Amino acid sequence: MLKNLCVEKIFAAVYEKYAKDLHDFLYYKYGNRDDLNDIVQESFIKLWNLCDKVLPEKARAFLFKIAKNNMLNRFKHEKVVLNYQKNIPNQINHETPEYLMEEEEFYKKYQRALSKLTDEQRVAFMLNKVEGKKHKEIAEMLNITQKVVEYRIYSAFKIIKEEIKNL
Amino acid sequence: MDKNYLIEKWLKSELTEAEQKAFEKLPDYELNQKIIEGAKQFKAPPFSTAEEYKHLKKHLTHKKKGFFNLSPYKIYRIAAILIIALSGYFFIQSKTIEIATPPGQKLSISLPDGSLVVLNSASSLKYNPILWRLKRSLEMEGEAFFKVQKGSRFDVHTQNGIVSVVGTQFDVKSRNQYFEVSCFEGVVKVVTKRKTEILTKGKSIQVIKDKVIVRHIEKTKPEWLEDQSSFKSVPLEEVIKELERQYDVKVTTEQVNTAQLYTGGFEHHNLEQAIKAIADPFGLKYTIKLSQKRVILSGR
Repeated sequence: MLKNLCVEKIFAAVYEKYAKDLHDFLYYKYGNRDDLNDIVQESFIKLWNLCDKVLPEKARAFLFKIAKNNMLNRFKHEKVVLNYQKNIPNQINHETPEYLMEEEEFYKKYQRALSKLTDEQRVAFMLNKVEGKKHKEIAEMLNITQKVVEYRIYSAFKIIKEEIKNL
Repeated sequence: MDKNYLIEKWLKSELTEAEQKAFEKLPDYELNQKIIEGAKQFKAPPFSTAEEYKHLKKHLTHKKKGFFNLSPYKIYRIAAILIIALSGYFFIQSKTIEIATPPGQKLSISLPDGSLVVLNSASSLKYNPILWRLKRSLEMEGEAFFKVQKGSRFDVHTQNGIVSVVGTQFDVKSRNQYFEVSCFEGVVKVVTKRKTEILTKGKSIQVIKDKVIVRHIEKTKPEWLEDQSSFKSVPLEEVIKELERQYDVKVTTEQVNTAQLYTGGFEHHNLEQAIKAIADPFGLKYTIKLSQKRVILSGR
């Protein structure tokens, strides 16, 4: 019997493998939105409905493509905003108000910087530095070469640094 | 070692021991570290795979071979065809051309089939060159002279009525409550709210407010093409409005009965002469304020 996505066990395994990555990818690309989980769900539902037509090896590419198209339909061209934890760890309660304000300033600039990156730069940078994904993994996920991934991360870093150094 | 080179390798986690030492000595070292650390504060919200899968399961039902068997792919195809059709429609619609003349200017336009339109001052016209081959139809407001190539029916839509012709020369004037069509050659059908009239060469129909007059005309083309305006029993207020359009001025009247009928004309190159041509028959006095583009006509 061929490995077939219509078999629930196999479908569940595919979900286990890609759902979080897809979610994170969408978050870093499109920012904080209420409908991210919905889009992830819809992508998998579509995959299920076509389980007899999509090969398991092609599932990842399929899911990412469906999710992107779905998003394009919903996406209003707003600036992409990622949220930061407003509580800079509370263990450090004896920080001076000036320090706290500086930290707040730093994160505000950082947030602006992230909005200024292209989707591609932001996704590559965050997946690598925050989610710990290797360059190779990211390349596969986005269907690009490793060199391109490296370049996007490098560009993103430079832009963030530039923005932070500016007044 | 080049700063950028070190940063590149650092970002790739490929620094050698020696390079690592050099990197740590860079003046921006602390900032570099802070940026990478700082990124973590923007981590995506947690995604619980197990929870979400439980949710998802509720929505997964096995495809039943049944009554409503449109697979998603078929639906996508139908949607795609509709979208392409609509896009095509909107694309064609977006290619509509609109041309307008300001007061004091006239413009000649060549239509895709070789027909000619001359727009009088303060007039506008709208047509779609792509659809023109299928249907010769345009919208017009103001006054225009038409020289139509032989071919399929040619329609002019105005707010006051529709003028339809086949291979002909005619003038259409549609200004608010004033509608006048003159046929210089061929046959013209005029459809208004009140009546439908067929005009042959040398005939014109004039509708002012609700009064309809069909006349014979001697001229073979409208005077305004030669920079003159001519009127036959036309209320003074309409004459004044045409003067305003040709000279781009504002005329105010004091103690003047603008409902009086005027027969005569004025030229388009000399404002004072033009005003005299209108004022004299009624014994009116006039004041011209060129810098303000104003004219005052008074009946005292």
